[in-house]
Amino acid sequence: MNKSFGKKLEHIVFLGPATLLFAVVVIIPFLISIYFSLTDWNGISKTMNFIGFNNYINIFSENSRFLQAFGFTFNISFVIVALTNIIGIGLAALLINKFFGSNLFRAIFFLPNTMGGVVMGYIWRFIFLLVIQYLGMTLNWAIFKLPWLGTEETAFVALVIVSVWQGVGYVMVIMIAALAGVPLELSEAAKIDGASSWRTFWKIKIPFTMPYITVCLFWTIATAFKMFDINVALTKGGPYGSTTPMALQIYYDAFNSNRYGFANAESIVFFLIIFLVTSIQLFLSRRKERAYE
Amino acid sequence: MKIRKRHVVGIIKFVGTLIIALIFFAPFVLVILNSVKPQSQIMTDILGLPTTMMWENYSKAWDALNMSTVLTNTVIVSISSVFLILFLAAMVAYWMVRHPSKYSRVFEKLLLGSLLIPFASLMLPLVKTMSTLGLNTSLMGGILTYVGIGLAFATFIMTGAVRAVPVELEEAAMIDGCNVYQVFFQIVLPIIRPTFLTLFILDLFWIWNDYIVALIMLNNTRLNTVQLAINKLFGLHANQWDIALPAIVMSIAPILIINILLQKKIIAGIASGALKG
Amino acid sequence: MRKIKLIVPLLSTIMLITILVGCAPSSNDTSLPLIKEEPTEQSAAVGSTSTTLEPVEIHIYQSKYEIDEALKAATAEYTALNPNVTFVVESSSSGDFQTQLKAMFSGGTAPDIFSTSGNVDLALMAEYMVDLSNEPWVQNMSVPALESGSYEGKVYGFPLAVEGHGYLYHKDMFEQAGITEVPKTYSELEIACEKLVAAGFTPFSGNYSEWYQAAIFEFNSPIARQADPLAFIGAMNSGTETLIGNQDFIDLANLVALEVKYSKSPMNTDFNTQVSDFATGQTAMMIGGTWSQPAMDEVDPNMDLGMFPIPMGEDLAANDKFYASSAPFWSINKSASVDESMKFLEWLAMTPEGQKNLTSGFKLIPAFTNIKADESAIGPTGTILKQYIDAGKTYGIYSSYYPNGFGGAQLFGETINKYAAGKLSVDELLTELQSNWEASK
Repeated sequence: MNKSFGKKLEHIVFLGPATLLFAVVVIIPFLISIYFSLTDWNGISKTMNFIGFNNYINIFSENSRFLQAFGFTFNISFVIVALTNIIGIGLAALLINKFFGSNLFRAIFFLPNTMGGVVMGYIWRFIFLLVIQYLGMTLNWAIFKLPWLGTEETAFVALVIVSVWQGVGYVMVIMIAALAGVPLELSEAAKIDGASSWRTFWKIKIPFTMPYITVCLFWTIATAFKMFDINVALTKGGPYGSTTPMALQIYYDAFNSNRYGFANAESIVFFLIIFLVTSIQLFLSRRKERAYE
Repeated sequence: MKIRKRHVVGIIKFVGTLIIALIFFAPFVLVILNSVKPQSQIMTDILGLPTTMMWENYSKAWDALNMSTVLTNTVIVSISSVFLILFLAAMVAYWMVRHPSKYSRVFEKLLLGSLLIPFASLMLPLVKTMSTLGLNTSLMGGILTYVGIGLAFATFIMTGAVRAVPVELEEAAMIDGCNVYQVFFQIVLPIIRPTFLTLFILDLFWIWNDYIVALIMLNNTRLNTVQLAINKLFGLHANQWDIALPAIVMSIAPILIINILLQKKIIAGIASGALKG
Repeated sequence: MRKIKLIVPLLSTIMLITILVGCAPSSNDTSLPLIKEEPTEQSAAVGSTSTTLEPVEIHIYQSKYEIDEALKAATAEYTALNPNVTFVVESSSSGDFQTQLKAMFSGGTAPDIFSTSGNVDLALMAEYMVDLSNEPWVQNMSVPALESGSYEGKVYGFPLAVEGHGYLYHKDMFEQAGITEVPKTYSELEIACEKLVAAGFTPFSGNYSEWYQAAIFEFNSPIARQADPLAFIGAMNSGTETLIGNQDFIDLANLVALEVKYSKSPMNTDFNTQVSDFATGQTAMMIGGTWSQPAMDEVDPNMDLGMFPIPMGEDLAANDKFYASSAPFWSINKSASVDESMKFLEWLAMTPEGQKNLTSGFKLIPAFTNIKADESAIGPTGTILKQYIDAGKTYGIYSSYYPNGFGGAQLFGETINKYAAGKLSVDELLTELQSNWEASK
């Protein structure tokens, strides 16, 4: 009796506090937000009406800003994920062998990853609005004379630049460790067989590091889909709303448009979308990992 | 001949990397460089060296940010949150790995799933639950929120670390008469210490940099954190780059310093953390 | 803080106990303390002064950050007179104001006095607000202030000021370009722009990268020029009116095109760049209002600043009016220290010391008929606006009547920006604005 009580107590001691906190901060608010998503609450009134799935139906109506935001998020995530991983792996390949200053270089490439989105956005706002404009005036190069945050295309590119700049460090660090784990015999054997180092890299090293690439993909996809504070600080979703990601659209609907219930419905859909996308990614990468085993 | 070629390749590699690194680092250099210029020079000569060193930019920004209060708040919130996250995540991870139960498996799934929840939908309900506990708009409310949200990722990483602990050690300790608490504190915790350091830094950076949780949980001048103060400052003095830029530098300085001091440990830790997870 | 002190020892006790006990057969683990998550009451009062009267702390949360310091001075003055009343003043820029206010109401830490923009805002929050209809200052409220500060026949808002907007311009640049009179029609404005360009100036500081100005100022113009703007808005909401084909909206489209044509890089200019470009003399004109005066004074207190009404179309009389309204309002939270908050507002509006704060301290034009503005404080923009108000030559500002508040405003603003970027024709602009309205109502 005493023993089984001790066992129970152990469970409570180890998982109890975490469970309690997690419930208060995440689970209960999430359940409440599901409830809100079925109401027409405006975010401040003392009353709200239950309206069933109307909010969800409205999300998929034809003029839906949420669908536009989804389109933007999907497109930019695709570009960011591809570039971040390619450049990150490239840097890892460059820096895997020690040479003069390689540690310093690693630190520099990783540095942006340790900075927050708001400050980052303001730093780049300074770059795009003042520095680039200054370069445009003094150098007279066409690329510096573009209104970088002012057109759909350039604002998109600007966001990609900042996101990739921030993300590659993470991919690089993981991939350096991954590549360092490739057994020397494997690559040596390939070299003896006459394979070029390029071929060795693609055919031997990359397949071996597949599990780590899975981690990188998961992280970059989740980060890109949830992008929020870079947009807030850099483009504010502009010009004319064209760079509004889903998370920001939800925020606007909740707090600017006084449609808190509707915004919660959007966020549930958003949650499901991320869940779906990352599940597909994990499924595909795991299959690939297995194929290489 | 061959050695020569290797040298050439090495030099090309070095120069190439150097150029990329310079481009990477340029934004920081430009911000730091311009933070000590007078406003008039910022507007007309962005790339040049400062004509006069305007150190008073920093004291102006310090006052505008109300830095002494804001810094105290941020340090209290981030340090306490991080310690709590680490401690709780280690306990959860240990229990999930070594004493799995139906509940712990469900809990693990919930934690993982929570990584994907958009924070905007939690915002108002969270304020509501916190206020029933009497904790909203308080440093404690902010701390608990960070812990609740940060738990998932930390547990995820810790689980990998705990798995790597040799079971034999724990079993031997059990035979010596240790209870689970002692095994946890005396055997497991010391072994996973490196992961602690990694997570400590990652979570510290996250909370230091976070804006949105602070916005709703610490929305009071007395409780403002660095990020809130920066954002407010950009609303108030935005065309005064001679205040805004030093403010940015001050807000990233602690991160820069930690990066410089712990550079190798951070990089090694993150790599191993991700690989185990 | 107290909570941290509570948890840290708890945690360290757990650690200590397990470590001190060492590896001995387990016996009395049951005595291990659990971590308890119990709420501790918040100590809200700060700076409680020892007086005989019951100390009251009034929390003001307001959206006009230009007056932040002056307001703090005013509250300090009030505290000196009434030592039992202390204040916490918080000012927040518009971006996060709404979010934080909602979070405050959700969490039960709502401020005692808070800003609203009137109308739609009042409708949204009336249930939380104190009915101020019987306050002594209500009888002195100007008619437009009374109109937008009331909801369902009750006054909920204390009008902080009358504000108005037009085009700000540098008088010296106009002189150098040989422009002797401010443009009074669209075609005169175009000629003025040409003259400015010929003299080597950039005519406009246009900002079409953000939705705020386009929505709040520009989209308001054609609405305000309708014969009965409120009836027009009502008809738009009920679907019996359309803005498609409406000449005033077409005039607005032309004006926007003109501003874009004569601006440096309007799609890449945000509010801060816009203001600093204009203030540092890089551009000759910008849309702006009385609230811009402090920012201009900060750059150059002797700036030769002028303001003239925005000309749309060719009708001289219709163009000779500024857009003005009283905003923002201050409302009192029902569950606050209502009496003390009311007394403070009464002090501001009804006593000479309070009034001096409103006029000279905040540097605003009061929205009360019995209070005279301080011309040296409100500067040239305020002075000219005051003349127009006294002559009855103003249009209203109806942004607070837009469907769905800021939500609708954001849509209108973004559509106008899209037009400014050249992505829409005039016809498409009007069609899209119409559908924005329908989506928001």
